Order: sequence, then C-alpha cells, then structure tokens
Amino acid sequence: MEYVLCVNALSKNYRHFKALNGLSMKVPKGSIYGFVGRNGAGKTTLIRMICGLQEPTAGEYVLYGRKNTDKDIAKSRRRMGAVVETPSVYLDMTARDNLMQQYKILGLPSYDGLDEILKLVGLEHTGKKKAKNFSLGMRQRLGIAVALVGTPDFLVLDEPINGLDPQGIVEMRELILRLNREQQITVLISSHILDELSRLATYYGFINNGHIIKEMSAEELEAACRKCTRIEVSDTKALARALDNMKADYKVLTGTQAEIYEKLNITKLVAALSKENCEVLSLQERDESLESYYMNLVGGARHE
Amino acid sequence: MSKLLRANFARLVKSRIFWIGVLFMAVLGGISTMTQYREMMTIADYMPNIDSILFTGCVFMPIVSAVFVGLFVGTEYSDGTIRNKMIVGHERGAVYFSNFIVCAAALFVMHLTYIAVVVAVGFPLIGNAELPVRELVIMGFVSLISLLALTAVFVLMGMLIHGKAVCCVAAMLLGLVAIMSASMIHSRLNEQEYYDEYRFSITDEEGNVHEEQQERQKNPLYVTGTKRQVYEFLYDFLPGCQLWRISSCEPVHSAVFPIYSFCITVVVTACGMFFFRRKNIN
Repeated sequence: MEYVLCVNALSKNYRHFKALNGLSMKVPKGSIYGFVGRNGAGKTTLIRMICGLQEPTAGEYVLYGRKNTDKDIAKSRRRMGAVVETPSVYLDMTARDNLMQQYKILGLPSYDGLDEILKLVGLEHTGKKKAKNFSLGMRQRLGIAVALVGTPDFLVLDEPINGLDPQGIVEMRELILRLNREQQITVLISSHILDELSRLATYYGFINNGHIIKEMSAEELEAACRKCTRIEVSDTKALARALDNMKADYKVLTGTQAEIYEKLNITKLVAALSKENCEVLSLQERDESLESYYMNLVGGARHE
Repeated sequence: MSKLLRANFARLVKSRIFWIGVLFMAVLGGISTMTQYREMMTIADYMPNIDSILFTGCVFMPIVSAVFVGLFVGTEYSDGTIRNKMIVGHERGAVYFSNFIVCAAALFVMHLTYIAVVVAVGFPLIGNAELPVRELVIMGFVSLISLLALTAVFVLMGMLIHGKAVCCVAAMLLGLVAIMSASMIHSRLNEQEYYDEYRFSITDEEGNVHEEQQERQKNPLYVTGTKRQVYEFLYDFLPGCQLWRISSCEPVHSAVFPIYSFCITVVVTACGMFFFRRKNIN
C-alpha cells in the first residue's frame, strides 16, 4: 500500500505536558482517514506538526517520501492543503479576494481554476460579501476552498463540522466525498463526532492520550462492530458442529466462546447442543456502535 | 519570498488601516501647515519657515507605526492566515522578513505623505525653507532609517505576540514610551547647570520692603558624569529620540543616526527571526 503520510514515534511536549507520546500512524493514498479522539487527545497537535506550524520534540514523519527534517520538505508541503481548527481566511476580504491572495502566496501565474473552486464549495454567488459576514458553514467552506488552491493531493481538515448546523454538516460531508472520489484527494479528517465520521472515512486511526491505540480500515471496523450473539458453551467443537449443520456464520473466539453473526432460533440451537451433551453457559446479544467500540478501546487503553 | 511580497503588497493595497494611516498623516500635514500659516497671518512680524513643520510628523510615527503594524501583522494571527503561508511550505524567515518589508514600505508611504502635503501646501503659503535642500534631504533620509528601526521593533512584537489586541496595546505602549522617553531625555539634557543669581523684594508685615539676593545655584536636575553620557547616548541611539530630534529640527548626527538605526534593525530582525523560527503557531 502506498502512503501519503507516515508518522513514526512522534512526540510533542509543552513544558511538562505531553501532547503527543510516541504517536505512529500511516495515511494510505486515496483514503479518507478518520482521525478519532476526544478533546485534548492530541489530534490538532499532530495536524499542526504535519502542517509545519510546530516542531516535534522527538520522532519524525514522512510526507510524500520526504522526512520532516529534510531541507526540501517544503516541496511535499506544496502538495497539501489544510484547515487547522478555524478557517484561515481574511475576514475583511471577499471569498474571491481570499482565493486570489492564496494564488499569490503560492506564486501561481494566473487565476485559472478560481471560479471552479468557488463553485465546488458553493460560494460562487457570494459576490462582494466579506468573509466576516459569512455563516460559519460558509467560512468553513471558504477555508477548504483556500486549502484547495494549487490543486493539492492531500487535504488535512481539523474538525471541519464543529459548530455546523445539520444542513452544513451534510454539505460538508458531500464536499469531502466529492473531493475524494472525483479529484482523488487523500483526506485526513479529525473529529470526535464518530457517527458523522463513520459516513465518510475509509480508514480510521483512534488516538488517546497522545498516541494511536488502533488503526484499521472501514471494513475491519465494520466487522468489529458487527451485530452478533456471543455464546459461552462447555464445548465449542460441539457448538461448531451444530452451527455448521444450521449453516450459520460464526467465529470461535476461545475454547468456550464464540460469536454468531446472524439471527438464530435459540431453541433449536440449544436442542442441537443438548444432543451433543454441550451445555450453554451464557448467551449475550452484542450490537456495538462505532461509539461503543471507541469507548471500549479508550477504556481498554486507560486500564493498560 | 517574492511570492510572499507580492501577496503582502496586494493585501496592503486593499488594507483599510493602511489607507486610514495615509489619510491621517495627510490631514496632519495639512493641519500643521495651516496652523503655521494662520499664525503668520495673525501675529505681526512672525515669519515662520517650512523647515519647522516639515518633519513634525515624525513625532507621531511611533504611535502610527505601532497601531499599523499591530493591526496589519496581528490580523495574520487573529484570522489565522499566517498558517496558509506555512502550510504550503514557505520558510518562516521569509514569512517574517516579507512582513517587515511590507510594513516598512507602508510606514514610509505614510511618513512621506505627511512631508508631501507640507511641501505641496506649505511652499505656496509659507514660503521656502531656511535650511539648504541638501540638509533637508539628509534629514528626510535619516528619519526614514529611524522609522525602519522602529518598524523592526514593532514587527518583532507583532510576529511574536500571538493576540492582535495584546500586540496592539503593547506596541502602542512602547510607542508612547518612545515619545515620552525622548521628551524626558530632551528636557533633562537641556536643564541648565546653574540657576542664575537674581534679586527679589520682600515686603514685611509693617510694609517695609527688603531687597534680597539669591546667589547663583547649582541645578539639582542637571545631569552630569556617566549618567549624562548614558542620556546623551540614548538620545542619539534610540529611534524614538532620533525621530523626536528630527521633528523639532534639532541638529542631527547624520552619520551616526543611520548607523545606530541600521544596527538596531539588523539585530532586532535577526532576533525576531530566530524566535519566530522556534515559535509554536496555533
């Protein structure tokens, strides 16, 4: 797999506070990487670092094949756009002027594509309205528009749906999906709104206390959060035989535990097990959401 | 860095605070000239010359530059736009230096606007200058270099202090300190060493008049020794003092002032860039 960003044991200390503690992660090319963690977990700190706004205390990261300590890391940075925390726009300028300003900062010879960017983010009709008079959603979209100047391959969005109304959230989601699918832009998106992230992300990194506690693809997460019945029996071999006969989808976890991934007639299963002299010790329905999965992860990490 | 300069100058041209600054200095130039002209017309035998007001704007420049730099540079932090420059790979040194160049250029324009208005309105109304043109040009040049040093100090504050409001207040306070310290040093250095002897009369309760004589006395406020040398050095060295002296048409050390100001500019900018490179940007 090709990676846009590889972070290796990155640490950041603010005096005695460890904001990042040996964080490692990999962002696959073409993915929408959902960076999940609660407030203060270190999401924004990592984003600031990969954007070059802050220097790591220890560790390194590789952006498009260049280490952060390389002299020409700037060349890799030119391939990325970012919105860190609040949208970075001049409030006393119009949307068009803000984009023109970014064109100049990048040293682009013409304003080709400016109108397309405005249209893409739905700000083509804002005219002479200044950014200070925009709604929060419009500002967020303008921030993304500024980040899209120079056609970046990698877009970093820090909590882009914070404070947006439901319609703004839908618009933002559609915009991100469109950028990823139509323009093949890799997106790193941090959020603590898990439900929203689950509609976007193709890859997840769970962060807690400054380090990644788990990285997984959306498919792996879906499997982990699959609705199932957890059964505890005296003999899993007998259970397996009974489930095979019933053509059920299941997974044996231990010598006494298994997970069954479909709705079963419990009476029939118990009767079949009884014939095999296998006792049913417990039966539990599990329907884990992304939220509870995350809470289990964080809880597990806290008790380590 | 040329890209950043282009972007910053484009922003400057659209900046409201820049045009307010230019307008303020233009109005100030007009007011100074008209005040002189009115005095010339109302007071008999009063023959003012344009020299006395040509550089009066210098005394306002510490405050004007503090406000302008605080707002212009502070906006980069308050709006978060400084991040846009770094995210796309611009060197921090280039970000700092381009801001310094643009602020210096903006303040030069404001300063020269004042002079231009005084020249344009003053020459026809008040008349020619007393000092030779060459000397006036040198004073103008020295004032620009002093302004450059002052700009370097305010840009350092603007780039290192995160909050726009805090930065503006701190810069304005420093600007006030620059003017007040110049005024204070000026008055202390101009204290006379001795109070002259003088006579005075006292009338007692019975109505008798007594003549008294006060001997020549040492002025306790007169600064001597090392303290005087320090004051004299600061009066030459500090950009605020230099601008004060130019504004009141005091004789300027045209060879020394630019060297001091240039040194301040280089040292302050180097320090600013050093710390800005290590600064955590949020």
